[in-house]
Amino acid sequence: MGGVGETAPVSTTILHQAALAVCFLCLWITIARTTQNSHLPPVQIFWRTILTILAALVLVVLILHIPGLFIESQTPAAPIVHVKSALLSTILAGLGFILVQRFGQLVRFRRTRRSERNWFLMMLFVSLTFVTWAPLHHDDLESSPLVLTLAGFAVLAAIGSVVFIFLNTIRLAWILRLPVKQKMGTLGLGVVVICLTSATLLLLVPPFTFGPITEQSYPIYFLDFFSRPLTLVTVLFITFGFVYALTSVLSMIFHLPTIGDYQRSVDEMAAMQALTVLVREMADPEKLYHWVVSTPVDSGRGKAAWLTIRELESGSLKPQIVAAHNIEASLADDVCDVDAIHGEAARTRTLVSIQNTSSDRRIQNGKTSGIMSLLAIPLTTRTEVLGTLFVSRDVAHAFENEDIESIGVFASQATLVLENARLLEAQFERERLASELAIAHDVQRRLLPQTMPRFSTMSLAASSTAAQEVGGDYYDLLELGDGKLAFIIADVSGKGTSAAFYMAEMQGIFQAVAQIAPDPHDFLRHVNKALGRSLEKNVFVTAIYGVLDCNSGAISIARAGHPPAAFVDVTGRTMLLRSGGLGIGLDRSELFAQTLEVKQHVFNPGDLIALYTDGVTESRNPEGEEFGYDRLLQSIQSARYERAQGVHDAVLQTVDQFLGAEKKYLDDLTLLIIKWHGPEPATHDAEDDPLL
Amino acid sequence: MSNFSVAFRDAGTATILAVCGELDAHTAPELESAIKKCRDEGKSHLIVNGSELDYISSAGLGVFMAFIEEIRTLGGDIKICALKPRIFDVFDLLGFPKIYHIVETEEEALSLFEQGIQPIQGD
Repeated sequence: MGGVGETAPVSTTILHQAALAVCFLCLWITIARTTQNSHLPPVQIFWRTILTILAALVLVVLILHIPGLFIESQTPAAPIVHVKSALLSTILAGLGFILVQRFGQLVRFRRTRRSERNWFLMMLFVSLTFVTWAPLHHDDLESSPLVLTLAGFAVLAAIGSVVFIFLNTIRLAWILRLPVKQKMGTLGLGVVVICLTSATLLLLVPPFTFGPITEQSYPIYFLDFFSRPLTLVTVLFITFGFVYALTSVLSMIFHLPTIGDYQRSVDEMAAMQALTVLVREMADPEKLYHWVVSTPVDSGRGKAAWLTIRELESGSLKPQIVAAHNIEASLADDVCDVDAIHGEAARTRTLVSIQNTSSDRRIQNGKTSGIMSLLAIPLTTRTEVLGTLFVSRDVAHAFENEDIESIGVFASQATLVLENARLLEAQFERERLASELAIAHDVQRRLLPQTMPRFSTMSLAASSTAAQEVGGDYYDLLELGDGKLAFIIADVSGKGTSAAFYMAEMQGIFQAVAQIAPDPHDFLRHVNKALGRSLEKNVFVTAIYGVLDCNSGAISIARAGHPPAAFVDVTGRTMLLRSGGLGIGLDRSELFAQTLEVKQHVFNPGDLIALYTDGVTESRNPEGEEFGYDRLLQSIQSARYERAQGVHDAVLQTVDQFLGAEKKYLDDLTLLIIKWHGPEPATHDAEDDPLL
Repeated sequence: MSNFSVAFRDAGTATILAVCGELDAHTAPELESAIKKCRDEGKSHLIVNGSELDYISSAGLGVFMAFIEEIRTLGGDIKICALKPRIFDVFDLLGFPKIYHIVETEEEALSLFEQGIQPIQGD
């Protein structure tokens, strides 16, 4: 500002102020650059603020001690006065800038659209104050209506600035989240900041000097000399710092008594919520997923959230978005490379934090979709990564350490709930499967003969035990009329359900084909043809089929890849009937029929034949030893005088003894004994009996 | 638990799959993928050396059946050699020797390939 005497043209003043504005804008940006990137905890912000103010005050006092006073009447001012006023303006304006930007970080803690707007408006009004004051020369106030109007605007802008400074200083959300210890520290530092800022303001604005401007050492005169608009801005900013420190301290004091309660209630609420969910929503994954995505949004930690889960059942390795809150799942999928981010989170098993999505390749059009900052938290159990929780905000750098911690804690809670739900689901599934298998087991049982046919010439005994609920072993008997009995034992390769289906098919074929083609060669050829069509390539069936004449004891028997039938005659001679024959399903050509041998034999009374599946001979004891043919033949031999049931029981008992205490069948185990007693021993007895 | 392994070895035009341990329902997929790998690499002259094979279940036998047709269509074969007597017996009971070349030594199997002797199968 020029002196009283001469009036600089308004245009020169404007130019002068514009140049100043540019310079100080640069200063503002420089300070913004250095403070913005460091996200400090409140204690640190207050601590650094104190150091900054102290440094500024020391400099101001030192400069004021440089000789050369500002004398209003002295025009033009001495060069030293120009230098002093420029230095003081720069230091104090810089201090104001630093205060605003440091505290600005606190003001914008957990920023919302509204808080962003308030902050922006404060800056706008302060800038307007600068701009509208700039052309004003305090001596020209009455000179023109234009200047008067401008003065009106200037006053309005200053009032606006004060209003928004006030609005911004009551944003103290960060205090609520502060741990008790830090709260106490910040409180102490806050008091120091209040003292220092008020001291600065007192230094700037002489409280008791309202008289005519005379020879003064107060820095305000130097500042005013340098630029009145800048002085206004500086005073506004330092006032902001003072008021913000004041409101912070007051707020912290008011919060002190409730800190403990607050913390406890937060924890309790979270625990209760999780518990309720655990109990109620467990059975419904949809609801569970919704809970996972809505909680971070409802708690105000995020603007939108979505959840990706890698569905193991569907076999797709690409994670799918299973739930989204406050955002369309398809939009989230379009904007983010969910796969890549999930991949990184899953690989590192740590949270991925993208503070500014516009500089991340994996997010496209983040700004227009309201995804400016993004957290991706892997939901990791001890063994696997269930999925990833994405939480987004519509402002860059929106996630404070606090938010990240809180969302992290929630994510681990959510993981627990999701895993429990999965386990429960798996348990239900197991139980359902078990009941299905129990039904299958019953059905399969009924496919086996329920009772043994009774004959006077022979005795029969059989049993089948499946290693699992259902198995692939099969035996059956069918009276063909004309005194003949068809019998079969078969073993489908593999175990369990698939084997059980083929076993059922085998039963159908036996019941039907044995009637029309009882001859062993014909029968097995038909079976090979019929089953060959339905058997998978790597599945085969082994079988022994035979027809026994119940009157003569003539037996006709063929083996299709099955373990050989054991013959034991009354003298104890044993023989394994190892005739040629391929397993059913091994060959679908004529080779099967060509290689199939049919053996004929006529039983003598006391002869017996044992048919079994490899579950008997391949049973292994704990030492890994196989039961084998020798033990089988021996056990039959030593029980050969018994009827069929006795022989049968003896063999199984030997197997059980061999297996030891565990008695665990690793394979389906089936045994069928046919013992020939000879024709009519009863009649023979009767003939001998004189009483009849 | 899984005490089964397959080792690959090239011997002239043939690939030798040396199987070791117990081939059952749990380990069968290993042999399956080994044969698949050979097939995908265009190797169709396969010799399974069973000198270290201690046990084979029906699921293990099924592996041979699953691929034989395909391998033969490609002009190759799966030949089996050096089985322990007890293991051979399992193959034999089922009639495998009627469909597959099962020989004593690798050299025999190789010479069968060299002489271009076709398997015995009917179709």
